[in-house]
Amino acid sequence: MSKLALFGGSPAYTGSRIYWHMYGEKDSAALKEVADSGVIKNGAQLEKFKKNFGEFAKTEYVLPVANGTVSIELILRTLGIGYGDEVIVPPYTFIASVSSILYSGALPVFADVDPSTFLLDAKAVEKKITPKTKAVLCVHVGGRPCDIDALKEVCDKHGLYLVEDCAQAVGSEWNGVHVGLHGAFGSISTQNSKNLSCGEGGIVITSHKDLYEKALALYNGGMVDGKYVAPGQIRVPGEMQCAILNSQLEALPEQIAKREENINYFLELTKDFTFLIPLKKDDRITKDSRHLLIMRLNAPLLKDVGRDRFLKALNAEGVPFGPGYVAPCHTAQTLKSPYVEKMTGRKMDLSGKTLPVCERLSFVDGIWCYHTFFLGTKADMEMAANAFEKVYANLDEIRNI
Amino acid sequence: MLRTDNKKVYEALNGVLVSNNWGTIGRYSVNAADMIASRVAPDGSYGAVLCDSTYAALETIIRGYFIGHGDKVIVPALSSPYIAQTAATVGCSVVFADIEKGTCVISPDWIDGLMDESVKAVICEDYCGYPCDYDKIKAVLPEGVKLIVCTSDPFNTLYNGASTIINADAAVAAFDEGCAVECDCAAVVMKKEDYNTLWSMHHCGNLASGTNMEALNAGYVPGGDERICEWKSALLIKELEAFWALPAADANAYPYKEEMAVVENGARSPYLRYFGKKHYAMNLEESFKSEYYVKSSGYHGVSICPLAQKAAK
Repeated sequence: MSKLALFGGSPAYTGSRIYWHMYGEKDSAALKEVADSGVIKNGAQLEKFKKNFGEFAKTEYVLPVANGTVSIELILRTLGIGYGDEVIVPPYTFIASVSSILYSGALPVFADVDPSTFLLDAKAVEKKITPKTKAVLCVHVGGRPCDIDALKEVCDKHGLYLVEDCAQAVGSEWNGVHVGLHGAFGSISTQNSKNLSCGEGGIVITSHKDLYEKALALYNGGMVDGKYVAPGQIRVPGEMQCAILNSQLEALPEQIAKREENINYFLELTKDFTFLIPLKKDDRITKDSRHLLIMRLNAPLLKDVGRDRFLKALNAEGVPFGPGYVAPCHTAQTLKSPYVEKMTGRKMDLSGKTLPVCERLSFVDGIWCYHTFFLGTKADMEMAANAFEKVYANLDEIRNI
Repeated sequence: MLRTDNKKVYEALNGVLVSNNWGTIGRYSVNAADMIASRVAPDGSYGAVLCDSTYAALETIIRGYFIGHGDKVIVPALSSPYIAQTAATVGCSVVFADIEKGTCVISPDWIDGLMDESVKAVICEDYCGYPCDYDKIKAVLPEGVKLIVCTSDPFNTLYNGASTIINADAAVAAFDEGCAVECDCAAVVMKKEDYNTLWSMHHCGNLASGTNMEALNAGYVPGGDERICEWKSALLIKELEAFWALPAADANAYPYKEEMAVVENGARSPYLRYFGKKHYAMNLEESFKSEYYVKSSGYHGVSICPLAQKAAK
């Protein structure tokens, strides 16, 4: 057995180190175009991006916004959802999925996730529906699409809107259709870490013309034909953000393909690792943006070593897997604020009693790796797989770290 | 319109590109905020954070003071639309006050008349660069009611010789279209004691570095995403530098003679003007009778504000 890097051995991974963002002359030229135009808002770049992204996702209805939180707020307000209403959301997600519901005035209600996918479980959703429920906000965590068919069935049965939080899923498809276009609306983030990024931005998409037109009024600050008809805000990205999105979008399809190729290779290399459990396969996922590669450690096989020690040793080998959302949203200190009750009229259920799967993934065995790692080479994947094997072979050594 | 020449705009933006931090809370955002705070309040009594828009900035303030459903906020009927629209979006009951006769700014008498125990904040706007009468307003403000100032020229709209912002608990320094500095963003400028809470409210509930629970006087807050991106911040720094380098302008030399009266002890911005602008009497807008507004705020009815309505015609 070779010595662990944690104890002075040579790291198993000595491959590519890829930093996000990947940019070049094209992006610089795009910024020069903005500088030369003298226009920083509501200009040619915004219009170009609406068209470009529409072609990419195959929809006519695209609204670029300031960020992926504001996009969900806009969606919920367009659907008339607010104070007194409830929206079901998974706890295994970034806090913005929840705070955007709060900001609309609706109460977020947590439903558990499926252990084989880490995503919102339709059966758990159905148990949380009450007469105040107006929508389900499913989150395509890591880029992997939720079981949209099952969620739509529940929503249709109970007359609820399905809204897709695609913050991490730009480029993902379910049954050949881009995520975000299966329910009422989809919300995408183009924040700094995302696969399509301009630093800070968001996109609202829909396949419904009538809903798009409703959203437009609020998008324009609540103004229609020169009159303010509803409370709305203008939260539009600037021209420089749109210019960067236009140039970055060109590289996205190739990057998605590269990640998919590398991840599939990594999964093939590790398919016999009993201590490492991949997500369940689903043929209805026709494209996965792979913002994160999410997996589970087989906790019983790690005995008393535990995830954190395993990851510490793995990171020392040069492989940057992390523990995922270690603080699921129902444990967030911010949601205990008394302001939450003022915003929604009620207290949130933060007990976690009905969220055992999420808690297990968060506290015990969920792991993930960020997308840039999978833009490297096949040799990188081989070294990564070797690193996992090496750490597992040395479990006894790390038991007491 | 930008004052910075195209070459410098490109340099600013390219600087962000190659820094590889295109997002938020980077060195440009922090520097720009510090520049604004120290210019507005050289004694260090105020801090600032930058937001992506005036809507975001005002939302940060209102929510940062835990104001929302069930609360009333007094706003001027004649004002930039983002003010009443944001208060409504947050779920407040928006109570409209008329303007003073002869000026275009909120009437302290109306504020006094509208005050009750449900009012949690008064939002004053230095409309078109004209300062409000802050001494009179503060005289009618009960303890605990927040004074929020919205200004389109935080550097040259003055009251008692200083920026109007230093009369406020927190202020929106607008850098949007039609403002003295146009950069499609805004700053929240707040009393130092409120900095940590408002910072957290604008940044997803995260704590500012160095914050401990004792310093966070409101506890953890359910923050939203109101942050500015580094692109805009880098550009704002250039625009502020260009603006501050302008030779002193004389408001009295302004070519448009028929401007409004300025309140006693006030000085209006020479870079903004009242005439030639579209004015809204927001109390008349359908927004405040809409189903969604009534649902969010639980409030029915708006005031009649005759002077504001006449001005908006």
